[in-house]
Amino acid sequence: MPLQEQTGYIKDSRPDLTTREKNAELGARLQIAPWNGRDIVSIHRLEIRVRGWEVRYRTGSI
Amino acid sequence: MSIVIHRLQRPAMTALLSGVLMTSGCANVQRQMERVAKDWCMTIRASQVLPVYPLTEDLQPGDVFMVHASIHDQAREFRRRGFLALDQHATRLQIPDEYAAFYADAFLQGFGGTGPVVRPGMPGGAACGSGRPENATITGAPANPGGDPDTTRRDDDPAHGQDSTAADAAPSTSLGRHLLVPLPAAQFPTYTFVVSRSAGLRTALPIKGIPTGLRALRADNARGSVVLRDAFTYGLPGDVLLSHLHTWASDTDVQHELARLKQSVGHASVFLRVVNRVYLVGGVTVLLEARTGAGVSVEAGLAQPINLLTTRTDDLQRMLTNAELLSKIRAELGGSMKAPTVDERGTLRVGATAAFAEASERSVVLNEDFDRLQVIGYLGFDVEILEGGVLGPAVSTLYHLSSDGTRSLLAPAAGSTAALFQLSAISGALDSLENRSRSGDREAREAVRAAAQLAALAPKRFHWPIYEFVNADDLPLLRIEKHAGTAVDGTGARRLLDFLGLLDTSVSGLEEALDLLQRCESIRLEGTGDQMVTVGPGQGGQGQFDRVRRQLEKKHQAQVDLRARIASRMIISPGYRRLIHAAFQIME
Repeated sequence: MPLQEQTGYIKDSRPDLTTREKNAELGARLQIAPWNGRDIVSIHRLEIRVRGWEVRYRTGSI
Repeated sequence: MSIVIHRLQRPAMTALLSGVLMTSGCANVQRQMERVAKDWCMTIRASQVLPVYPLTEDLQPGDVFMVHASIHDQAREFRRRGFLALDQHATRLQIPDEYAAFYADAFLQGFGGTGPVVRPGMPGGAACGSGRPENATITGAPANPGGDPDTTRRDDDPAHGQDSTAADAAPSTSLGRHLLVPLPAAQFPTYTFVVSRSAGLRTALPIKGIPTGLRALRADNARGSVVLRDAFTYGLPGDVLLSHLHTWASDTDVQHELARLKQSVGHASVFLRVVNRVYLVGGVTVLLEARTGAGVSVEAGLAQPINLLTTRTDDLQRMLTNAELLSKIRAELGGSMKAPTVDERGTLRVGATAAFAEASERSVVLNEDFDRLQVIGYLGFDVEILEGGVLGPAVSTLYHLSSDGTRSLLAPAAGSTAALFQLSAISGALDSLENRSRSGDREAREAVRAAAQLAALAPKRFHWPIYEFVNADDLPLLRIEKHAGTAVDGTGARRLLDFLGLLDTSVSGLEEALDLLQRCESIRLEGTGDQMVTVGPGQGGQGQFDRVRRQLEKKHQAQVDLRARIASRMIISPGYRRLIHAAFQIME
C-alpha cells in the first residue's frame, strides 16, 4: 500500500472546554484506538466552525 | 548487708513499680481512647461514609489528598484506627460550575433544581404555600461548603443572610437550627458507647459535650448515646471530578511533579484521594447514663449535686449570680469551659454551644450546637499515580479499604469524558505490564496472560461499520474505518481495549454527523465499496435524506448499546480486575 497522509478529527466533548481540558482530552484520545496505532504527522487546533483537533497521520509504507 | 541492700533498693523498687503501673495506666488510657475513637469512626463508617477525625469545616468535594501507603497498609491502618488521616492536601479542584448542573435535574425543586414538584418542608416551599423556594435559585454550590455564615446562619442570628423570608422565619424556635440551610438533608443512626472519665475523653471523641456531661453526672463510668443532628450532604459525581482531576494532572508542571513523586517512592504506592461528597452536621445530642456513682476523685466537687433538671429560670439565675457557686459549677463542668449561662429560654448553657436539655443525678442530656456545620464524613475515590505521573483508574475509597481487599472500580457512564480517561489509563497500565513482561517480569507476564480473557468480550466481527468523522474543508465526511463483517483483530486485553476505542470513535462520529444533518447541513458519507454519497437537504430528495438519517440513527443507537453492554461486562470481569490488580501490585 503506497504511503499517503490522511486526516482525522478529534472533537471536543463540550464546547466550553478550557485549554487544559482540551489538551487532556487529546492526550487521552491519542492513547487509545484508533489513534494509538497511527503514525501521526501533525496536529492542528480547530476553533472556527468546529472545536477540536485535526490530526494528520500516515498510512501505508514506502 | 542484705538488709542494707534491701533498704537501699526498696525506694528504687517502689519508683520502678510506680513507673510500670503508671506506664501501664497510660497505655490503658491510650488504648481506651483509641477504642472510643475507633468505635466512633466505625459507626460513621457503618453508615457507608468515611469518617473525618477530628471534625473539620474545611473539607469539600474536589479536595485532593496525597496518600503515601500501599492498599494493604491503608486497609490495615483503617481497621486499626477507624479513620484515614488526610494530611497532605495536594489541591482543591475548581468546580463551582458543576454543582448547578448536577442539582439542576432533580425532580424536586431546591438546591438549584427546577423540577416540577416543590420540595416539602423547605422555606418558601409547599409548607409555606409560596411556590418555588427562594433557595432554589442557587447557581453555584448548594451551599457554601466553607460554612459561610450566609448559608449556615443560626436562628439566633436572623439578620445574617440574604433571604428575607428565611431571616424572618429564623427566630422561630420551632424550626431546626439548620433547616434554612439549602443543602440536601441526611440522617445518621444513633451512636452508643461506654465511657470512662479516666480515659481523657476530650481527645478521644470529637464532641466536648461528653466530658461535660460526664462531669455533671459526677460519674466515673457512663453509658451514652450520640444523635447527630442537622445532618446534610452535598457532592458531585465521580466522573465529573475524575475529568477535572485528569485535567489538573495533565498540566505539564503537575505531571512532572507527580512523575518525580512516583520516582522518589520507587516501588511503593502513592495515591491521589479525591473527595466527591461530604456529610455535615450542625449539632449533636448526647445522652449519658451513669453506671457508677461519683468517686472521691471528682475534682473540685460540690458539696451537693446541682439539680440541673430545674426548669425555673430564676433558680438557675440565682445559682449563677452566686460567685462561689458559679466557680464550683465551672470547676464541675471542666475548668477549660467558658462560664455557664442561662439563656432567654431558661436553658443552662455551657460556653456558647452546649446546653443541658434534661438532667438528673443519674442521666444527663446535652444539646451541643456547633457554631458552623462540621464535616463528619466523606465519600471519595482513589487514583494511583503511575510511572511518568500517569494517573491510574479510579477506585472507590470505601471499597478500596474493604476487608477482603476487593477493588471496585468506578464505572463512569460509557461515552463520557471520564470513560475516555479511564480507557486511556487502562491502556497505559496494559502497556506498562506488557513492557515489564517483555523484560522478563514473571508477575507482569502472568497478569497479561490472565487479562487476555478480556479478548473474549469483543465480538469476532464488526456487526456495524465503524465510522470516523473527518472535518474536511469542503464537506464533512463520515468515513468508514472498519467495514461491517471485518474481523476484529488483535489479541489479549488489547483486542478489547482497541475495540472499545474504535466503537467510541464511531459513536462520536455518528453523533457529529447526525448533529449536522439535524441542522440541515450536508455531509459526505462513505458507503460500501468506498463510494462517497453526499447526504443533505438538497441531495436526492427528502425521502433519501430521511432514510439515511434513520439508518445512521439506528447504527448509532446499536453502537451506543453495544458499548454500554461491553463496558459494563468488562468492569465486572475477573480478567479486568486481574489487570488492574496486577498494575497496582507491580507499581507497589
